[in-house]
Amino acid sequence: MIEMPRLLSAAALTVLLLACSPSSDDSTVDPRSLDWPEIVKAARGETVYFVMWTGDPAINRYMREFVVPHLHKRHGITLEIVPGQADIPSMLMTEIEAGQTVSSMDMVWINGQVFYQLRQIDALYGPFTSKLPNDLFVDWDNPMIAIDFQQRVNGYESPWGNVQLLLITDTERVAHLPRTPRALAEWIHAHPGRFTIDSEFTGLSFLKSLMYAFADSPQELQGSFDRNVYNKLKNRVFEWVRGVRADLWREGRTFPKDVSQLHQLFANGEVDFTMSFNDGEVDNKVAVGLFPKTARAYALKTGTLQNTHYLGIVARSAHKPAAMVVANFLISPEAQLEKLKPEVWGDGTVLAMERLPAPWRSRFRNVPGRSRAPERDALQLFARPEPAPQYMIRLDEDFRNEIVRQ
Amino acid sequence: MVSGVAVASAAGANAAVIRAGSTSLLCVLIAVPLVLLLLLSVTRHWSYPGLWPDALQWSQWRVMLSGDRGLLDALVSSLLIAVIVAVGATTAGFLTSQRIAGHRRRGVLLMLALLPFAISPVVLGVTLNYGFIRLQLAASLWGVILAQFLFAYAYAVLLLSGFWNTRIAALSELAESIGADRFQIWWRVRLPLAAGLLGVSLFQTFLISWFDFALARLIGAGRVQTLPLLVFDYFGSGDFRLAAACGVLLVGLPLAAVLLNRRLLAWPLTAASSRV
Amino acid sequence: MLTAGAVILALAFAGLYSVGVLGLLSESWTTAHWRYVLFESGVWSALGFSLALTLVTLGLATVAALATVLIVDMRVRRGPFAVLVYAPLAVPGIVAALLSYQILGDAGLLSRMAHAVGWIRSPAEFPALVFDRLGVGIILTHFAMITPFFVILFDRLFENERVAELRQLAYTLGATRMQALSRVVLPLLLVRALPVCAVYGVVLMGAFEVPLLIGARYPTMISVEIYSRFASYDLTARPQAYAMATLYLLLVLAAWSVALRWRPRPAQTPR
Repeated sequence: MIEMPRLLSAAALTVLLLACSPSSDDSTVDPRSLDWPEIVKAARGETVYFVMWTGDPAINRYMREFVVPHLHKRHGITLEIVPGQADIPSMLMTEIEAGQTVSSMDMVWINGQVFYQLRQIDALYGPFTSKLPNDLFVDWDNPMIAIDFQQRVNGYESPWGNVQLLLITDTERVAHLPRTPRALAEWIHAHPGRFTIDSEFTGLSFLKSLMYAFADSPQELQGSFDRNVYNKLKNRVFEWVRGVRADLWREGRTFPKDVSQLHQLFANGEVDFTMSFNDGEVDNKVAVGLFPKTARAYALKTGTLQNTHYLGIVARSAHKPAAMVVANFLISPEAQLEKLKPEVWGDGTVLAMERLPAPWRSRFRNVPGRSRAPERDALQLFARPEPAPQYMIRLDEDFRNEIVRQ
Repeated sequence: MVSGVAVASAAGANAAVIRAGSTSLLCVLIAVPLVLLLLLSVTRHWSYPGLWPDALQWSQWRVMLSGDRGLLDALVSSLLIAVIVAVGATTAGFLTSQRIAGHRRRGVLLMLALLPFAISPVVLGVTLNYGFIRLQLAASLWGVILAQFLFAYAYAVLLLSGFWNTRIAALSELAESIGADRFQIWWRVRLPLAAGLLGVSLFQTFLISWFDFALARLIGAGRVQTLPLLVFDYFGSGDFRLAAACGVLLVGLPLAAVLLNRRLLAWPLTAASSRV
Repeated sequence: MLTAGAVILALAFAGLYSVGVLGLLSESWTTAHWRYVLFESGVWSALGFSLALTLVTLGLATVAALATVLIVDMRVRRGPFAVLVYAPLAVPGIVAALLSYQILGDAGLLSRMAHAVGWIRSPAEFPALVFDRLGVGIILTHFAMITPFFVILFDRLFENERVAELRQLAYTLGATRMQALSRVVLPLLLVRALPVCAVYGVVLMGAFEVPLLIGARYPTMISVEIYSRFASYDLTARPQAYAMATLYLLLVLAAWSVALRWRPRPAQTPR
């Protein structure tokens, strides 16, 4: 066809465009070579894009009404919130593959096994935490903080908050709280259609907690991933699930998509249980009138997962000094205290009380306690650390294939 | 005989009742969801099993219009992107459809041109993603514009290809024979005749962009905020009232336009019926 | 010049797929992803599910629209209905899904109405219309979105093709109502509407927003399946997403070529 030469040139142009890498727009000096005052100065006037989960209005409000204005006023930094969570590794991977030298994200909220994925593709900047002045207060001695899903943090992410998975129920409808898997199963059989789990992070974490319950010893789930242990425990957990499936909500034919939906079901009175990775959530939700006043949270005697969530700085961020200032603020006693308040967020602090100056220590102690969930110290007995990330990845796939699809 | 007529008119009366009844029912079915959307956007609290909200409030709208939380930004972005996409896609579509109409290999070319439209926006976004990042187009306004353009352009080609028929060709030839040059043929013959259809195309390509969710999300990668993305975010966080408020804005504009001029959505109908 | 533009598009896609399939991160050329996608991933059930939903929705919409036009007849032109029927066309998938959730959901409007008349006592007793395995909510939502358009379409065709007159003619030639319907009215309308139906079929196959918001975790429509693999935290799922997208594209191309052969040759338009 006459169009041939045009076609070829067009093709060549396209290939050329695709092949050439974007110009190196690297104006980033490694902030670790600067002192802190210089970093703060470099951060002024910058905009930081922070990718975080925006599924909880309370958390969003904390960021919007406390964090963002403070950063702006004190440091002249504009913090922009970008919704995202599980897709963060995917987004960053796309950028890396495309040879992009400057990322569109600066900071990320690392929740769950995302840390593992991000380290795998080398997407995180670090180690940087020792550079932050407020890092002195962080409770690095606590293994739950220093180790993320069985992987040493090594300064590649800064701890932000600490949570434990709890079951939430309405004490008016549920007289005796089932505290073991067996008791729970009995309750489910006695009350068909009133219990379910979501098929995302929270529900899967509940199943992982059950793994601890069915393990021969808690140590089995520590350390690196063990395929045999996984298969053995997975089968036991799935056996439990299959045992109660017929009496689950909607006869177990379908599961709520995520924890927000599960909360809705609970709030509507369709189910009598929900669960949350935010142990302060129940107070929070009762305060806004979403959950009934008689709602209570509790942990299984066999243990539930406790984990820390973190802040990471993207390796290819163009605003690293500003990101560091933001991270520093978020772990400041001031920000951590505000976050701890049940009516704000109720998220546990990662700061070590003994390292704080005295006035701060008493302020933390005097935060109105949670009235509807056990205190942190009481929960510690039932806290279990997160197993290696492969457990989550495999469990997600197997749950989808072996349970949801049947 | 008389009773026959009476029966016939009775049957006629029955039919009229059925007609009126079903028409009313259909009107109600259409109106209810729209009213619900509006209602949700001003709800404060609406507990089960109430059929009407417990309490109303203007908060959602105050938040929207206060410019806080970038809601106004999303509105402006959506408008800007949609206008650019509409103009670009219609222009390119008009020119391309003319080239294709006169071509021998019309079928194949049409198929290629329509390809972006035939694969879903998700598939389009996924396949374009990598290339866009390399071209520095990802997470940018122009990236989203370009991606939506590709999709809308394909649709415009489809829509406008119905314009190029024998009559237009004859008129063009006529104009040429009396000495008009190429520019004049376009400007004085084709453009005026196509005005109506071009208007329809502008509106519909505008809507394609205005309503787009998948491409804005995949290519925009969180940096570009549009109204559909907002509706999705609010839905996901369980804040249905704000989602409804965004929805009202999203629907309001096209609704107003269509109710004023119903022919804006008329295209495929005239095309289908002109295939005589 | 612009036709070359269309071809560039096709080439750009091709270039992108090969990158996708060629392995990402640090992998070498591998067929593992394709093997997984083709044999284990459930892509066929997603495709089948999408096709099934599309056909059911189209079928329902066609029947409902025809019934509406034939029953409501010429009223469509005047009165509030004539105006209101255009309204749903201004509603996008996202908003439609939101509304469906609020109407068809467990604690939605229908559920509350059922409660008001005493059919159910709590939200849990209401049948699952959203997030369900059969995609009922998805079907109903799409149905509500496209039927008004079909009503307008059939009404216009009715007018333009002078169907009323032809029907009258059939009556005078001795046809019964049934015969007139099945041999004159329906064929005329349906055949003329076929191209538009095909376009809508394509759009419905690739539906995204509605199944994303109110679809169950399984089974899902193909667009949602591709997206969830693409954006998954499990990075090994990404190449699978690319492979699925490529597969979908190839299938569309194949289907299109077949359709192209079948189409009655339209009258040749001169230069």
